This record gives sequence, structure tokens and C-alpha cells, in this order.
Amino acid sequence: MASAGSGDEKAAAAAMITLISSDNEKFEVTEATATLSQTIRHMIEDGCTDGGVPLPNVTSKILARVIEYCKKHATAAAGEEGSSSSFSDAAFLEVDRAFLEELEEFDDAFLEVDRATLFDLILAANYLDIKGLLNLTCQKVADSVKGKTPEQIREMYNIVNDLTPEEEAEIRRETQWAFE
Amino acid sequence: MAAVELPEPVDAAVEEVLLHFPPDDPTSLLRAALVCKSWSRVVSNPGFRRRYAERHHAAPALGFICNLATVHGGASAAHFVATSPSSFRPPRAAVHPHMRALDARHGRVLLLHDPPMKQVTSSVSVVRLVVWDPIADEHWELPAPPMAMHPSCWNAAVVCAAAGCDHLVCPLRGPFKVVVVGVRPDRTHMYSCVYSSEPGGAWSRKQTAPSTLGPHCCFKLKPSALVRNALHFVFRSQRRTSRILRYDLATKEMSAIELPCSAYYLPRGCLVTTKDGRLGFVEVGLDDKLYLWSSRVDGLGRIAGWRQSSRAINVKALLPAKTKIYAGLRGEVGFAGGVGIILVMTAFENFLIDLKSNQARKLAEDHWVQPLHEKGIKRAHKMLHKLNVLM
Repeated sequence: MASAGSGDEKAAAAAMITLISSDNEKFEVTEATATLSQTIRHMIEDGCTDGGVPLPNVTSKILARVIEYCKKHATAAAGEEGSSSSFSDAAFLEVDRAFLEELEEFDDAFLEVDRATLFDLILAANYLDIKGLLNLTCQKVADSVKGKTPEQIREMYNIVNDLTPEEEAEIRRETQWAFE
Repeated sequence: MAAVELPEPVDAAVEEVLLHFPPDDPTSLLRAALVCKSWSRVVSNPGFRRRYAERHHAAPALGFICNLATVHGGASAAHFVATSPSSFRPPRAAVHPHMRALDARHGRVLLLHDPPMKQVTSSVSVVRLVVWDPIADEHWELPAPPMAMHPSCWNAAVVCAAAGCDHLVCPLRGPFKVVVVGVRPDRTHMYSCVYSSEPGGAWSRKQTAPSTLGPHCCFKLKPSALVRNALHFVFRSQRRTSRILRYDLATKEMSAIELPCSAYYLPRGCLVTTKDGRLGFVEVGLDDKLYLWSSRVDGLGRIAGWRQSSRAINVKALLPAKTKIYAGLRGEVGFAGGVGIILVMTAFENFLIDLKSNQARKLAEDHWVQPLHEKGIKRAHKMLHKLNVLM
């Protein structure tokens, strides 16, 4: 945010970015929301967002969810910036705690999606480089496969086993100790 | 327009997911390798291993090496003790007769051939040092060190010597160094010897200025701690005072550092590297409580003092009632830094105390040995597990 609009918060907040999903749906979002994505932030910095940002790897269904997440967390980030100077202030910490709890509740509800969507969200978060969303979704998947067999993991996430029987036998033989 | 394309978007996402796998259960990563090609590719990728180790601040630990006497009262020998839920056992976990572990670091164990007393004819025995890679199951027997090494006059350590390595993921079969520090039998001079596996494998030695370590200087073979490119050993400098010998790996200089508690009985404490990379000291006090100390450094990086952790652990409360913690020389304490486990040896039994859960478990003596397919070890090595030594 070095050059354009710095110092004029209202102007910055009002700056809108158009995101275009793979199925050509357009989403208008504020710059603050869009820049939670490092990928988009870099595009804005490079000045190549005129006419919209095409996101050929993200469907409208997933993009809508991602934007929902970014909107909520962009508000949180703005709140944090405002209170950063009074970090040690107890009252502020109290407010922060309430806000963090609310954010946690939002995250929990946000993760209530089917597993295919969850994986699509990871792909999108990775492509768009949204650290918080990536962490959140990856942790959810990692927790869900804890103690599961390879077969169960494939079934849960609709993954096709493309290992040849020879390859599979080889890995099994080499890692036999892990399965005893 | 500039839409960023990733070469393998699915692999990248899988990598992110696998990074969130718990570090205390390395087998979950092996199971993941069987899901499909993409997952398998990610698990065996060195870049993933590095990121995984960085994220969790250490390679996943499978267990540690400690010296335990056999039930028949034989000499203590190196054993592998598993701490992770996996059933990983090195192929020769307990098959090192007359070998005791001196040190373990960066995936290697330094063993000392320790023949039974009746075979030792003079006070100067030939010192046979062996470096063992438990996961690749390779042994290197080192040539005899170029000094006459008398019992209680030396100690040794092993370190990875790969250039620029930060030791999170040390290279497979990479170069290593073995450092021996000691005092001459007349206690007038200190010396150090370094064995480098590359090039060719040879010892170099250095004799330092006259010893200022006192007439009663002696070493006990306890594991060293590596902190900021310097090895630290405990030695006894006076009759009742122990200090720390610091050996700088770059300059080969040696210096002495005071321990947090001056009068300290050697077996009851050990040097450790703390989580934030400082020199630490773990001690079981006379009140049977476990105290943790970490060093403070001055502007020049030298140790300026010690800070005691507020948390003292009541060891006795964690052990079964009426357990006598220290019975003569058998009572010892060891510490496996990477896994946060304290080993307490009592008169008849050994206990592991997990610092994270504050729980003690008795060490069974017959569950270590398990034959392991050789290829399995190599695959396991791809995910690198560090072993820590306890004595």
C-alpha cells in the first residue's frame, strides 16, 4: 500500500476489485478483502487488475466461500492494526479476546462443508496464497485422516489410487514396520 | 493477464496438508505415501522433509539411545528405546555387545568399545570408537585416536560436518566429525583431537595451553550438548566442583564455563540444548525434584549466567511409592532433548518421564529388539529421524 491512496483510508476502503471465477462469474470485493490473498496483492501492486482478476483455477462456488472467509478476516485484520499500539492495554486485550472467540466460531462454522469442498478450498487457498485459510483447511484435513488407513483416506476424499500394484507393494514392503 | 500458474497445484496442496500431520507419529506420513502417486511423491521429496522439520522445529524423533545394563549384570550396552507410536526399531537396536553409546546427534551414534573388566590388562586401554548410523545401519570404525587416552580423562562427541547444514535435515551418508577432548594423565595439559570422515578419514590433534582445570580434573562419559557451533562437556575440576568445558568447532579453542550450581554430583544432572537454542542444564536436586536451567548470554554471545525455570518437577511423585531414586552409582539421570524425556535409573528399574505429559512409564527390558527389513530402513531414512542419547 505504498503509493496509491495511502493516508486516505476511506478511498482505500472504497477501492473495489473484480474477481472472475473459472465459470466467468464476477465478484466485486473491497481491496482490503482481496489483499488477504498474497497472489492478488501482488497483482494489485503490479497494477494489472484493471478489467478484473481472472482466477481460472477457482470455481464460482468456491470463490464465493473464499470471499466470505476473506471478508470476515479482513475486518479482523483491520481491528488488529487499530489496536496494535495499545497491545499491552488490558481492556483492548479483553475486546480482542471476544473478537477472537467470534472469529474462531466463524472458522468452525466455515469448515462445516463436505470433504470435496474442503479439498477445493485448500487448492484455492494455496493458489491465492491466503495463509490463514490454508492453515485452517489443512489442519482440518490432517485431523480428519488421523489414524486412518490409506484406503479410508482415499474413500474420504475421493482420491483415485493411481499407484500400480507393484509400486504399492514396494512401498508396503519398505515401510512394513509402520503397519505392524 | 498475470494469473499465476503453479506447476503441480495438487501436489502443492497435498504438501500443505501433510505439513499439518502430527510430528509425534511419523508412521502417519508413511501411510499417507500409500494413498496415491501424488501423496507418495510429496512424502519422499527432500523439500517437503525440510519444510516439515522447519515447521515442527525438529525432525520427528523415533526414540533415543541409552546405555542399559543387561539383567545378568553385564556391562551396560547401547540400546534403542522407542518413544513414538511407530514400531520402528533399528536393525541392531540391542546387538552391540560391549559397546556403549557416548553421544548421538544428527542421526548418528558414537559408540565406544567397552570390553569386560577382566580383559583390560593395563590402565591405558586401546580406545575403539565406532560411528553408527542406526537407520541406514552402517558402521564406521575409526582409527585409534592419536593420544594415549586414560580412563576418566576424556569425552567425545559426534557432529554432522556437511557444509552449511543447519541440521534440520542432514544429508544422507554425509560427512561427520568426531571430537575428543581430554586432559593428559599428568593433568598438566588439555588436548583435543578431531576425526573428519572427509577427505579419507583422519585425525588431527591440538594441545592447548597448560591446564587450569585443577589437579583433580576428570571426565565422566556423559553426552555433550551442541550450542551455536560449540560442544559442551561436563567435567569435574576440583574434588567436588563440576564445570563445563566448551569446545568451539570453528576455532578449536577450549574454555571453561561455570555450572548453575557449583557443587554438583556428576550423575545427577546433564547438559541439554534448550528449545530456543541455548545451553541448558537439567538437574535432579537432593530433594528429588527436577530443575531446569537455561543460560543467559551477553552481547558477545558468551554465557553470562543462568536462569532457573520456575517449574520444578517432583520426580518422586511420578514414580511408584517407595521407589528409591538413587542407589549408589546406579542412580543416574539422562535427558533426550528432542523428545523431552528424562530417564531416571533407580536401584532395580528404569523410568522414562515425559516432560510434556508429566507421566512416568517403566522401561521394559525386552521390547526393543525387533528384526527389520533392510530396505524399510532406507525408506524410513527419507523422512529422517533423529536419535538422542541418554546415559
